[in-house]
Amino acid sequence: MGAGPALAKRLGYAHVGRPFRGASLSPWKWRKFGRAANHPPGPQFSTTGLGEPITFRMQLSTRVEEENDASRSMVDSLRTNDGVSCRICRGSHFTAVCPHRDNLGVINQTISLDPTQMEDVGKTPAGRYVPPIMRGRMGAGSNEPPAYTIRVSNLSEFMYEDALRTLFAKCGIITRIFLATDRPVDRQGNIIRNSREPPRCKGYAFVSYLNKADAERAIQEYNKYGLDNLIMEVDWARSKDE
Amino acid sequence: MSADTLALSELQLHSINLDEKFQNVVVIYNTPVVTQEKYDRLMQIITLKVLSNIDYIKGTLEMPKTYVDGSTEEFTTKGFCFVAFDNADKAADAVKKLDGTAFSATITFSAILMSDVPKYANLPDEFVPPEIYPLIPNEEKRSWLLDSRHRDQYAVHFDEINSIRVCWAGEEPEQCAFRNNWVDSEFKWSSKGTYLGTGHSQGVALWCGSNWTRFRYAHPKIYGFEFSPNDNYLVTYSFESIIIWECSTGEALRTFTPSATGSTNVLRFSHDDRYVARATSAGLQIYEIANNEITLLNKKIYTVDRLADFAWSPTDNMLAYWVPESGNSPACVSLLNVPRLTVARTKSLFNVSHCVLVWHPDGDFLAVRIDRSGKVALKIAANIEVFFIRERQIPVESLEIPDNVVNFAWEPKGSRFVLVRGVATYTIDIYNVDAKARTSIQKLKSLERKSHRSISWSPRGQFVVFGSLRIMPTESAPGTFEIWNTHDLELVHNSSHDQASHLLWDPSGRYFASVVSIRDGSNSENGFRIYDFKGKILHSEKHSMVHRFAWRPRPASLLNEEQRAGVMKNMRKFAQEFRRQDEARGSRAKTELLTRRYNSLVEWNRFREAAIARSEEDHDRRVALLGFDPSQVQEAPVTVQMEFIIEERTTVLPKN
Amino acid sequence: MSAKSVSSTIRPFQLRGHARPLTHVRFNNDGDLLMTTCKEGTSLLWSSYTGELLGSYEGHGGVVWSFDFTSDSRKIITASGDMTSRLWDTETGKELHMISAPSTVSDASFSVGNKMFFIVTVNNMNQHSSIVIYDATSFELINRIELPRDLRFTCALWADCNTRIIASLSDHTIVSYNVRTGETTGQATTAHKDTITDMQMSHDGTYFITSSRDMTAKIFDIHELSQIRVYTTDSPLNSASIDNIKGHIFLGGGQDASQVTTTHARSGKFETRIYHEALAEELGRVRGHFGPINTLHVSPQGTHFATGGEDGFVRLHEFDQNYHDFKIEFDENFEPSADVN
Repeated sequence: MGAGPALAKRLGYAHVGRPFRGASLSPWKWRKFGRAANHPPGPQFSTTGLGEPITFRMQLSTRVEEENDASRSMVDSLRTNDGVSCRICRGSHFTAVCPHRDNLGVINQTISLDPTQMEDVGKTPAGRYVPPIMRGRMGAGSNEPPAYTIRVSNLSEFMYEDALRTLFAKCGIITRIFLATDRPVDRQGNIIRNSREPPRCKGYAFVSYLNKADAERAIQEYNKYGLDNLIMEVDWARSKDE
Repeated sequence: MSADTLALSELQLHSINLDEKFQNVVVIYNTPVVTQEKYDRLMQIITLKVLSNIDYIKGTLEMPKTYVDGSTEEFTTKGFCFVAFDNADKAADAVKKLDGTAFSATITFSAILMSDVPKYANLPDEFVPPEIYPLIPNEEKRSWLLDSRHRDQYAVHFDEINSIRVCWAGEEPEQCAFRNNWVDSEFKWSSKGTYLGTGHSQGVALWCGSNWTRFRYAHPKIYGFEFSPNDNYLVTYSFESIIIWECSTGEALRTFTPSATGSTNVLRFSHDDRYVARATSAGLQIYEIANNEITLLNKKIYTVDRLADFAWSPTDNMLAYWVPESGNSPACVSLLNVPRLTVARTKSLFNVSHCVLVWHPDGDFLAVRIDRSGKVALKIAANIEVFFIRERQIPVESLEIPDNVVNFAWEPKGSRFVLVRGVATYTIDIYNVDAKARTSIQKLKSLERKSHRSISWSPRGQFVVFGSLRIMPTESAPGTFEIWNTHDLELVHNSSHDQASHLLWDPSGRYFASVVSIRDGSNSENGFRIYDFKGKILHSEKHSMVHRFAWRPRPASLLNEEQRAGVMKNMRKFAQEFRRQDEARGSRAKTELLTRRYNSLVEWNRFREAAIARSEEDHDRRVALLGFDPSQVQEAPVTVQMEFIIEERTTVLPKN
Repeated sequence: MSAKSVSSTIRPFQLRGHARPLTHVRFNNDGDLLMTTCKEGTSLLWSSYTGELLGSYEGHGGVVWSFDFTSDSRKIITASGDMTSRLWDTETGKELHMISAPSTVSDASFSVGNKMFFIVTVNNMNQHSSIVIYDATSFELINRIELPRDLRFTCALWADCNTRIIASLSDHTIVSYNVRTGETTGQATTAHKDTITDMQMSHDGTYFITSSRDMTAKIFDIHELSQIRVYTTDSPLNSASIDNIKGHIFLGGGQDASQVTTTHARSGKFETRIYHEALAEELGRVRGHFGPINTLHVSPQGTHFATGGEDGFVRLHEFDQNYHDFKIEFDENFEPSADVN
């Protein structure tokens, strides 16, 4: 995935010492054992990572007060791009509390549909209708973070996005889910809104992860996984070039 | 055994499974019992004398006979006969005419609808006095409006056990009523808020007044019910029949048969409850309601060929209807005055695939949203035609939108409207309508690249909430919403309630609620939140399932213009008084809470002290177990150098 | 009354090393070591200050459900689904002793003073669920408490200077047994309405907290087994721990995704909830896990807390100064009003 993370040293002080444990028993003088036997002293990145800062309020109150600030600042900063960008969804907000982790699908859509790329509609061959997902595919690579995409096929027609998300979220951070569906359409070809029928899944979907390792794990875990009387197939998604 | 009982018991024998619709057939009984000699003569007399004025299907007069054993010639008539009609209405008219007609000096015919036979056959032997609906005085009916704190009510239908809770809204919602299993299917507030209607398998129950007095309307297997705009009438719909009831007496005023195909089965009332209309493909059936009778206006249908749909004006007795295009004739929208049945205005439209009629809540304007069918491939476009109802000769202005219009809504008490257009991402346009200005429809502002498609105006106008709501039951939606002030065209607030499916304003325009009700599986997010009009959350509740959340509507204000102006002038005085009341209430609630917490802490400390005292008794035992005394030893801390990770940066190599 | 709200920021360590869901995380008595075990059978030892992996205990052939440190942190006893309980030397990772059991061992715990330990076995393999008490030096059997076949022990604690064992049963009750005789000395029959998932003793051993899938956690007194406090939440709880220094309760849980296929799984949504011990009111929530939180523990010094989740991650948090400064106090001249229930 590129150059390893940078490690900065900091001296820490610890309260060590009990009546029945002398300094000789201090873990700082221990040799590492078992799985860590060959590790050099100090924390290793293979086992220890630093999470994002979490801010939470401690308070006694009569009412439930939600953290609306996070979502508002996100929407505001989407409007005024100060050069701040979220590592996860490339929206203009700090990764810190990316509240739109949930709304990744929406954000990603809005991002890839920015006005300069909307005009692609006119540029598509012979005035064909291009679905919004496909617009702006040319040169999309620059906008999105490198996503490791897997293709999930042989899904039942009752599969829906939430279930897919729940299943695959276990393997890592998902940046995008695309579930191919068929929406009920009336005779003129217009999408029937408020139809009682849910959109039917076409049987395949694409899931993109932030880390390659997560995508690999997903492939290992869910390939040949039985779901809804069908055996799911999970593999790397092949780009158009290959 | 009298002739009546004999005939009835015979009818019982003949009572067939009435899943088939026998509403077109009339049974006349008390006909003379004759043998085959007099049979032909009897049939002749009945046909000529009795049925001469009745519009029945000729040849269907059928008189059942009992044959003498072994013979096909000898018989006696059973004493009743059947006549068939074209439709249920004609049969019902015939029953009225025939019932009680004298056949001869001694014989009087009785007539009933075939479909009513089981009802009469199964009459209980005991006389059960009919349920008299208690008379509720108007103050009692409107009792919730007299709340000392001027609060509005809302009702929530939640959980599998069908509980409904009615609460007073406010900073702290206060429960007004709560019952489990209050409803079977769904609940509705009546149009002016007088009743809470609940749907059950046996029919509808209406609950009224501060004691929630119950009124019952028996109509099995309904799939829905509606109220008339002035809360006078209740319509219940089932696949078998549609019944209009008078709310206060419980009397069923008229029954309609729903048609299986073709015409719509929805009955719509005029604003003053005087007329009710129904659309059929042949035209409009407009009924007049007077003296507890519902009769067809002018005794016939108002013919409109291939009528598609209609809508009453919310303030006048006028309705708008539209007819789709066919062949060479274009589509058109017309305005009809009732009861004069004169056309006030009509407009032809071309290239129309679908029309939606949207009246302004004050009846000042009618907007017709026309989706155009493109003769040129897949060109999605729309038109908005605005009818200026209050101007002389009702001028019509047209607004062309070269885009797919998703939503449209008028501003209550104002002259603005909002429309949402687009596919996948939406643009929201705010317009103002002014008949006197040069450009009657003026675009005020356009909001680009929004994901919101739902519009919810405050009932007072001025404020509107746009939301990305969960409309399809299986689609996920972020539930983000924005509150805009359309007077200053400014964003007031934006926020989100994940997976919200509804945004509802209360009738005073002070609060609105967002509701999450996801049906699949058990979802921990179901619930609702109440906000003030600036978007600040006042209250939040979660339930395992929220079926419906609805504010109680208010009747029209009793103040006239002058009085209202007077209130506005003295607003400052009133505001001071209210503020004082609020503070007093606030501090009372606060003291209660603080006291509760204080007592809780005191009780906890007492428990801890007792527990520690008791554990002190075992002090020696513990020292013996541990081998030392933990309370004694305090070693000086040792400082150790350690390596910490304090930063993690991921650099990504370009793909090669 | 002052309860100034504070905004606390923590950058937790994300400890990676487990591929399967976590079963148990605990700090040692000194608070400088953290041990974590998971369904794969890996048992790992970490430093609580730096988050570095110090070592692993290899040998178990199946899921390690639980473990305990001795109070001097020299030895660790583990309980595993491979039907053994093993004793380890903490520093070197060497296996010191193995005890075989007739069925899955779900829990193991040292007594105060480390002279005895018990293991809890489960009622599979046609066995009865039992608590077996051993001498910690000679490994001689001291006593066995057995249940009828359809019940099993879910959690157990040493109590009252090792004279009693308080255990929770699969019928949602809590029972107190005499260690020497095995007799029932007390019962809380209406303790919970669903499975009791965790029991942790307070530092001074006078009360304990239970967490249950009935979405509540409760504090009981060890002598009468009377319910002292209830903490209600909106999701089934898997674990509860007490911050003895500040008097805060930490609760973790969540809907298991495999049970409810349509949980709206917002990433990072699974939260540890912090409640005030005495007032039983929620104070705050800490997010971060991608799946339900299976186990959590606050260090006895009140400086760190660790959570282990279904997502296979362990998150090690060090409290910041704002958390330590948070205080709820009543003014001296506060007059409680009389007419409040």
